[in-house]
Amino acid sequence: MSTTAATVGTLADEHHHGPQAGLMRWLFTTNHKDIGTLYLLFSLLMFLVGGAMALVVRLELMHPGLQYVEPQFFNSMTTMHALIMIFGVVMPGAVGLANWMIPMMIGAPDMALPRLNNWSFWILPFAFSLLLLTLLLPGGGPAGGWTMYPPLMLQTQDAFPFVIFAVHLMGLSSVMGAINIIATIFNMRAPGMTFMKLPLFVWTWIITAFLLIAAMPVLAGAVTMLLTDRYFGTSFFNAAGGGDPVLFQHVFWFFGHPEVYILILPAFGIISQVIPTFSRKPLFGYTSMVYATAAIAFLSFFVWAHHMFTVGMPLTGELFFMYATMSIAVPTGVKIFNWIATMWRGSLTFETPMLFAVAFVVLFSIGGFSGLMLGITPADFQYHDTYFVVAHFHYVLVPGSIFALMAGAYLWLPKWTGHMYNETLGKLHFWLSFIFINVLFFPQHFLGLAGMPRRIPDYAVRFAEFNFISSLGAFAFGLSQLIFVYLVIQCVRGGQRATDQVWEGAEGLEWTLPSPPPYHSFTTAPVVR
Amino acid sequence: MLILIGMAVPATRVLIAMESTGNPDMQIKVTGYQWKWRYDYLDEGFGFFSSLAADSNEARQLRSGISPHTVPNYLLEVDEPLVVPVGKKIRFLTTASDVIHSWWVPALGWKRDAIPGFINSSWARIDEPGVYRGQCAELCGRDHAFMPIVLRAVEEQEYRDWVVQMQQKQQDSASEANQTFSLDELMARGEQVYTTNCSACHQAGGQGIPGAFPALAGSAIATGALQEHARKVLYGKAGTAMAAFGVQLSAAELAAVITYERNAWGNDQQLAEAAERMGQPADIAVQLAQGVP
Ligand code: HEC
Ligand SMILES: [Cu+2]
Repeated sequence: MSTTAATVGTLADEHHHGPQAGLMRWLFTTNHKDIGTLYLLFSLLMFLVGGAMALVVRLELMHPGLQYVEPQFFNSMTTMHALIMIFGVVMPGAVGLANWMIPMMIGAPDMALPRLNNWSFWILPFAFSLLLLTLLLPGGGPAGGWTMYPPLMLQTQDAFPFVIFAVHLMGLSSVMGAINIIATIFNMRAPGMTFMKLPLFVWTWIITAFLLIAAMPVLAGAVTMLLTDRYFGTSFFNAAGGGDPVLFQHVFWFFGHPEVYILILPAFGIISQVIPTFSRKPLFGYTSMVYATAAIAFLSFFVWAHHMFTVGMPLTGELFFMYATMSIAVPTGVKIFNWIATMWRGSLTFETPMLFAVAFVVLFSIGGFSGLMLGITPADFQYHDTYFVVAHFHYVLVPGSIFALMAGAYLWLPKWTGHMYNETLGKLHFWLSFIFINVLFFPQHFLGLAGMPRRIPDYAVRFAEFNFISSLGAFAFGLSQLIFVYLVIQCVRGGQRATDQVWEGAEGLEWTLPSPPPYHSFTTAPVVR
Repeated sequence: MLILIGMAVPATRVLIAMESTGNPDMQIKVTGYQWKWRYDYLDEGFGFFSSLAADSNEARQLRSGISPHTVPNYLLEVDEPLVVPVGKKIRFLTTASDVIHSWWVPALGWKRDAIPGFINSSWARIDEPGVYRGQCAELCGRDHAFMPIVLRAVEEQEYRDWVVQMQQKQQDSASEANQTFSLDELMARGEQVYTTNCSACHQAGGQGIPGAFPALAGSAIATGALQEHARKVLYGKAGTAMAAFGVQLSAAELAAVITYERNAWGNDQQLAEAAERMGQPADIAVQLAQGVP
């Protein structure tokens, strides 16, 4: 260990090239922090766009009857909202955090493949412009749901090829990002930073990156088959031509279920950084956390059919997928237990990141329980495609993934900008978000149980009250997010200077760098003992 | 872990019972269409379509000005409900003709996808007479929200009477195929047929929805040769939302709706020279008998 310290110590930090000036800095940047910032800003922008679409949906659903939009436009709002939130917000948000934090956490100067990094970001604005512009085409945007099931998806008008191409671009971007992350972690760790010393955020990203590489090409294949069915006369999914519409669902969910974990594993990683920091204790059961994450990722490839129990599968298939689904509760339970055990008898303080993290643990567990209910096949026959499912996946995605991204942003904002954010505003943002997310999504459980199908623009009057409450929650939640936008701008522009360590309980290499850190994080590799 | 096993055991038992669709007392084939259901009573030899009730349909139009609260069973009422006897094990065979739908009556405790080219089977036995309501549960396009299910469970005797009545109706409509109707009769009937079957896409005023559904008012096809027009309606257009109505409607209904399209919205003023103004059921029957164009 001491010999490595000597050799790396001789590399002096001589040439100081900082960022280029102006727009070119952002267009051509190969710097992990600049690209991380781009990813995060893009994610925030898309969060507002996708959120506005969700508000169109909730506005129409506020009262029974059609008041504002045509059903077809409503359908394209739900479809686009999902595509944008998944591929434009949660994934780029998590990649942005990875870009910023992984090199600093493992003691590297930058990402391993900086040009690829630039490219994988700059594909995204094109992909999403393409997707959004389909709204202007004759026939409107895609309206067959983000799951794109044929034959309905094949009825999409002129938007069809553009949507497929946009999905290809998004997939390409995330696979390139994943390759970069794996290359970085495997090759650029500082001396002494063994795998079992990696911060949990890094671990969850290794596993997520492998999931991405395995899953995204499957999606690309599925949508390409849609494309050839439409334009080249193949009949992969056309029963009249000897194909099988259910085949698409199998292929799609073989991608789709791992995708769920692509969205949540980095969130687990963030929470595993935040909770120890504000409990002033190391993470409880580090090793079991790593194995639990790997187990979840592995199992995620064997449960896809629980998204499609109602298509009519053989009994043995239904039983297999039910048992496999229930077994995921075990590693997930391990994680929740470890987070609670970390807090147990810690000296806890509740700054904004910690508030979001605690809310994550509680609300994600609610989403986990409703997920377990859905995993039970005979129960799913009733709950499938209802608002119960809508409530379930929003509980794991909004107070799950989004709250975790928020927790991460609050945790690391002082490190990135060198300024403390406004804690009062942060807390206000948290409490409003926490209250209204529940007002928004909790009543949707009851709507589902009462028999309201999902993806409908209008409903029977018996569903009116809960829909009204849910819509109120949606508008309040949406508006509360503007506090965050304001807070970020304020924090970038100035504020109380942040120390290097920022938080009293913060541990890890990233907190040894100044706040804000130098342009090339570690030009001299630190030594980890 | 123990809790999970404690959940898995009863779940397995229930699932096995739910999938035991053997030995039914009767079978009903349920077919999803954009956007209505068809029920075929396989043992009794008749079938019918079931679409959203007219008052709900009127109220659900964008900014209709009609409050849903004033419409009885808003969006959960149909023109022709499914009727079944109580106490019988009924096997439901679900399939679809265009895109995937899902047949769901919450009170039965399950839903089953209706998939084109596939037949799924499920079963139910209803013990309490009454009206049970449900909806399509799988996104199936623009009017996914507007294809409800109404299931009326009645005592055996009432069910028998109803079956006889439906069989009679079916015969009546078959015999219509040989009758000749006046323009007024065809127009009146055609407007009804149009409203239930076509207006969801082509709109009540025939103006269509630009980019998605072509206008029929002033359309070259609706004002051109009768045979060409009829061909479009009978066989639809593969790969689009325009279904083959030749298999959905009776010859008389087809003649009526085609005649209606040729004369409504000022189309009668624009009819091509020498183009027929109206069609009769017999013309349609001949064209259908000739088979795929
Ligand atoms: C689910 C939506 C839908 C319904 C319901 C529907 N159509 Fe269509 N219709 C279409 C579409 C889409 C086209 C365009 C097909 C194409 O691309 O050629 C079309 C085309 C037509 C055309 C040719 C118009 C032209 O100028 O090209 C006629 C005639 C027509 N439909 C009649 C009917 C009749 C009669 C009914 C009711 C019995 C009906 N349609 C119901 C969607 C629908
Ligand atoms: Cu449907």
